[in-house]
Amino acid sequence: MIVDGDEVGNDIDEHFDAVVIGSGAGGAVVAKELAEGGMRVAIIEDGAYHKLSSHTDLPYEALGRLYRDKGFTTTLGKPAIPIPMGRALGGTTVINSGTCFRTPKSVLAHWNNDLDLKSLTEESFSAIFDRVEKEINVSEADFSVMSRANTIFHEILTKKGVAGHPLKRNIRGCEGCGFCCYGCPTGAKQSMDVSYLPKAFIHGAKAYVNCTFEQFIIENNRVTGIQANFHRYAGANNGHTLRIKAPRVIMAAGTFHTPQLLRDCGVAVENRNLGRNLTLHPATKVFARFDEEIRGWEGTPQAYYSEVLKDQGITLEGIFVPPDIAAMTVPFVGRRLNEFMREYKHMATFGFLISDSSSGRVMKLPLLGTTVLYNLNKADVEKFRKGVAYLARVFLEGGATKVYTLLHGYPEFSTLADVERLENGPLKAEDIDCMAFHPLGSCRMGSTAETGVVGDDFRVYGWEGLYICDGSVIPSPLGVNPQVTIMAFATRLAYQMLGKRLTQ
Amino acid sequence: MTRMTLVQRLIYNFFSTRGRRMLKELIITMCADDHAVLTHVRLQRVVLRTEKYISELPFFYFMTFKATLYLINYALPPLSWKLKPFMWMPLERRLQYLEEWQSSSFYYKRTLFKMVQCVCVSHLYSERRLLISIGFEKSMQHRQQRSELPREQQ
Ligand SMILES: Cc1cc2nc3c(=O)[nH]c(=O)nc-3n(C[C@H](O)[C@H](O)[C@H](O)COP(=O)(O)OP(=O)(O)OC[C@H]3O[C@@H](n4cnc5c(N)ncnc54)[C@H](O)[C@@H]3O)c2cc1C
Ligand code: SF4
Repeated sequence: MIVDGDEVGNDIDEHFDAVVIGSGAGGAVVAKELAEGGMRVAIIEDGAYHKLSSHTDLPYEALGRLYRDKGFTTTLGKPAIPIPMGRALGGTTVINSGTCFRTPKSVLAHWNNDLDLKSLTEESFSAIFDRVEKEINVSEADFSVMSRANTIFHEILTKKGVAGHPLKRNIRGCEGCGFCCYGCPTGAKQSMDVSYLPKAFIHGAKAYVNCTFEQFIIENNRVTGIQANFHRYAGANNGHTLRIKAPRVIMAAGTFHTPQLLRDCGVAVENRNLGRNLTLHPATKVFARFDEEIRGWEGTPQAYYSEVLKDQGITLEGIFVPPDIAAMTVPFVGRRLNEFMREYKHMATFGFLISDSSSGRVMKLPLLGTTVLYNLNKADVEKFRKGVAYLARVFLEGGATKVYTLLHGYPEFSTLADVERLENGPLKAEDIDCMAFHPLGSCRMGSTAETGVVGDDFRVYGWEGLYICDGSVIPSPLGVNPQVTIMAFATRLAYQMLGKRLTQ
Repeated sequence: MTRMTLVQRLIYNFFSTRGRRMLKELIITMCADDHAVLTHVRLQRVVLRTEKYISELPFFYFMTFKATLYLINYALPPLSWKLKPFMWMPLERRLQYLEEWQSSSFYYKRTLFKMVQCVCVSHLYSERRLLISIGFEKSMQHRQQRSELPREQQ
């Protein structure tokens, strides 16, 4: 059942067994598992519920509808990095690309051995991954509906004898219409609003949408409930409040919001990890012009990847954005911009994300509100140099007539000599035009309160009744897209709360 | 959006409707006043939509955007120095001037410009007829047709 703040005309007071703040990859999963296990569950979501039939607008218009701050959220630092995130029932999963990776074994080993998180073993996760993948129908992307931007890259890699693979995605009958990041209009993408949440509702969970969490109800270091404000769809407060008493409060408002919400409520403020250790998986792409018409916007935009640079902390992944979004990033103005956009149907793009060793922090600044401070360190700058140079080489060797990059000072390459110029030339953090789609770690899990905000039981150190379960608890960067890891963590928390064990 | 103080709201309201002409001239220059582009565009609508979009941004971004618009137009130090405001420059000078902003070696200058460019150009390229003219027609129609299917087929 969904209660919409846009329509609520009175204050509401309720009791539940558990209340979950946020309905994304973390929140929706824990809510559904708890509801299915017999608990009475409430979900509080700041964004609205968008039916599939509402996903008919242009991508650019969808930014205003489905993204927080119209997609304008940006880090402060060098470089300034846009970090788009979803604001809707289903969270960022509504606007993500649907790529699914299990947590890499090397990362689990790092958590186990180096971070002393002994319970996060490979064996303990395998049944959980199976369950998550079944719920969201993880399956390999089909070549027949892939964007040509992906298949042309596959053809070039194959010719070079380099391994690449179709990505695994959470889809059911994908038509390859290419709008995954602007709300899937067919319901093929198994985002939380079409997979976990409907099941949570069947088991009696109640979601309050257009409803913003404001405060915890606290009794002697024990969180016993929450208070939230209803607002109109357009954002104005509607003057009514929601008060929920519950013995379990689970924060899943995302890596960006969770630490600041805790701080605003005076919770865990003494923990020096709160808001710190933030990693982003910064990502960029190159454009490659071919004589052939690519029309990269037709077909699944993110469907192919290669791990050829994995040992250097770089994961190559397909990406293609529709022209109204691409226009934002084109490094030209005037006639060159017009020419670029006219030629866009001839462009292929491919991108990569880096497993970042840089780290940032979430904090509140006057005028700016909640903000991220993050500077790219030298080691990560070098990863960008390598990734861009590699993609440019692949495309030029594969027949592209020109390659365009988002690096200041290296806007376009026509020959391999141009690529060498990048390989040997100067490059600073501020020269890199990148974005980040995977903020993680701002309330990371740690084996003690000195190393983390939550323990491996997801409970906030020093507080009873308060748990965190979203991207913020992920202990370190993954080097791959995180939604399945976040869902696996959420499943783990739910089973722990239910006192059950998942076995294969 | 973060909550605003009364002073912030007043500043917001004051600046929201200002700078429309600057915005229009900037958008025209971004596409080099090219008839092949502008013929597919209802310019006034683009300007109004861009203006509305800016006025709905969080306060900090709104103010930064507006300030940059003025900095660009009046070529104010320390970021640039020109005797003639942007709006009075002939097209070729304007294009050269914008390229200076875009490729500046001063990081903050080009970052501010990127923010303005990003908003202006994306509004220009969200004009449906312009998108159709560059070949985006089929995908756009496919997306819109979805809304006409019965619920169970969506
Ligand atoms: C464009 C894009 C593409 C991506 N593609 C992929 C991909 O292909 N594969 C992948 O694995 N990952 C992808 N990601 C990342 C992935 O979607 C996120 O990492 C994941 O959804 C994060 O889950 P979460 O639960 O931490 O937060 P979210 O999913 O962001 O959910 C948090 C929710 O909390 C709500 N909230 C915030 N504050 C409050 C408040 N005060 N009160 C009530 N509610 C609140 C928010 O509105 C939001 O709905 C992508 C991200 C983006 C932006
Ligand atoms: S390509 Fe289209 S149908 Fe497939 S998941 Fe993306 S939006 Fe949905």
